[in-house]
Amino acid sequence: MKECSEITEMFLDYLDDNVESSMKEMFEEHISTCEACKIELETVKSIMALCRETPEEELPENFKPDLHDKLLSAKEEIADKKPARLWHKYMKYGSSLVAGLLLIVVAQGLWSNIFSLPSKSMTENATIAQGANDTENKAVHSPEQSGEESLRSQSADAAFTAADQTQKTVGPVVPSGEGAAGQSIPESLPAAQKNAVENTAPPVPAPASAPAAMLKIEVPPDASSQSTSQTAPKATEKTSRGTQNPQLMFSAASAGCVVNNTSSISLTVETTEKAVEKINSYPFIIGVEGQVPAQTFGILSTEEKQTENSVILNVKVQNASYQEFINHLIMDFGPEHVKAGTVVPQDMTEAINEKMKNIETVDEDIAALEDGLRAPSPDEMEALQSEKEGMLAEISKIEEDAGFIQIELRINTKP
Amino acid sequence: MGKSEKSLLEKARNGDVSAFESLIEEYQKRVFNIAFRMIGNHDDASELAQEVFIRVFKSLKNFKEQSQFSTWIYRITTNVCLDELRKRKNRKVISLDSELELEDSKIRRQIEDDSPTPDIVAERNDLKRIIGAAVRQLSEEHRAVLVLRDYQGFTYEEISRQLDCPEGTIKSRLNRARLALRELLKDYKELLNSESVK
Repeated sequence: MKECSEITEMFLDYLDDNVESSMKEMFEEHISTCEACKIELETVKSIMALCRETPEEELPENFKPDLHDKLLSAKEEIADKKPARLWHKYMKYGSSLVAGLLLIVVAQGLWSNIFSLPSKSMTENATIAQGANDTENKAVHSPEQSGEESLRSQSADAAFTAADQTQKTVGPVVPSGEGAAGQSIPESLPAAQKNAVENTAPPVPAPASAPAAMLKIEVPPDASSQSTSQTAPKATEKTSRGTQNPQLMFSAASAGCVVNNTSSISLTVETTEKAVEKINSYPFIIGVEGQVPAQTFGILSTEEKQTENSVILNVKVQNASYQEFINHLIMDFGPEHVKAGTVVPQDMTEAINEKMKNIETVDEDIAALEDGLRAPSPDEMEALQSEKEGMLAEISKIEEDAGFIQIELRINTKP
Repeated sequence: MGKSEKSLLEKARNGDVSAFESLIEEYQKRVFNIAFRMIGNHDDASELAQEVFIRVFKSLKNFKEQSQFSTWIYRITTNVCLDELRKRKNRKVISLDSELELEDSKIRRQIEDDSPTPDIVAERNDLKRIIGAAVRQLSEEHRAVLVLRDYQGFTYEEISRQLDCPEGTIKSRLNRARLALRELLKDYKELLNSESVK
């Protein structure tokens, strides 16, 4: 004879008629002789029956209209989400960039020696190249001319003289994510500078895929770091990644120069911060450019690199409006400090793959929450969904724009 | 999933509210009833059922069609209800014991500040309502499995998919849920037994 507790454990299977015949006989024998178990079984049976007989409740009268309104709101919410997230993402990275730059400046002990810079320290490289597919556009590459001359003189020749003698492949092409072809010389450039660009640079073929522009902003900490021979190796180091490609390098003598002050530029932490803020604000100032809405701009990554003599901060910015970006740099930092640079095509595959991996991780989290017995909290699920949608939106923008601007901020740490 | 359902699903994924409403038409009443049995009052059940469909609508793009659409909806329904029950448990500040008079007996129950007391008191003669009130005293897991099986009549396999639990676990949990319910209703043994004789 089984214990009563064992019998009650069998209730479910018995009621489901899922008990082997021998066990069933034993079960029924127990029930017939044990009044308590018999009552228990009858109680359970009647509860089950009452549950099943309970009629279904009708939907409340306003259920469907209310749901309809909520669905319309949800639809709008979904549509509104993308820009908000991207803006948020931009702001997040933007503030990180500012903080990172400030940290670098402070860490390198530049406080004391960056307040005054002899003007000749900002004269090293001065070349601008233009026109992605425009073979008529030519960039200056004149190693014979000293950077010193270019800064002292306000002439176009001086302002756009190449001092980077190691850059054998300096070319005239301005890249563009949305339109590599047909890039024009910035309107903000003086006519003489435009002429200089057009007349002196050799034609360089456009990259096969939408490339990224690399803007180089050099920040010499003191007078002793100004010679051409000191900066040339840095340019080489940078351009070595893309020597097969058309090049564009803009070099500002001072990141802290937010006005067109060509004679007495001083770099301070304060002005550096202002400069960074200005650069961060460009995407919002530029606004809609071609098919790229302002909200799609975003600093995607920062990468810090320590060399023997400098700290380099590379900032990749998703931006199809290279030309506008460059125009703003020229306006704010002064054309005489904006020099030729290098175009390095960016491999979008890596960026996309990286983001796809992140999406897979989010998908796994979502599936785990959705499938588990333990219900995910609404906030948690919503956050994951938002995160995923934001990533997908970014990937779609990368595919559409297929280009990055890469800014190199170089701060010399040794003379 | 049939062709028309697939077509509606695709439209709904692209934000077509009307297509989505057609898609969920057949599930609305059942989702509402699951919520009602789990929560116990019409207003809250209505809110929860709507939340289920909003969540489904927002998550349509993630529905991989590996499971049936109905299973997915009912799984979300159970999850939404369990969420709500846990939230209520967490925010319960004052718990008072009350004696609820029902027929000649009393059921000792804990009343939460948002429980549907008036309904139960008003319809004290309704055994089904008494059972419903007792069901809401069960733990969340017991309640879920009992509602899905004994009220909604889902198979063990279906419940297993909805709760992502092995069938064996579902069965033993259901047995315990029924015994717990019986224990809660011990004061009604006679009434219930006479009911079973009918």
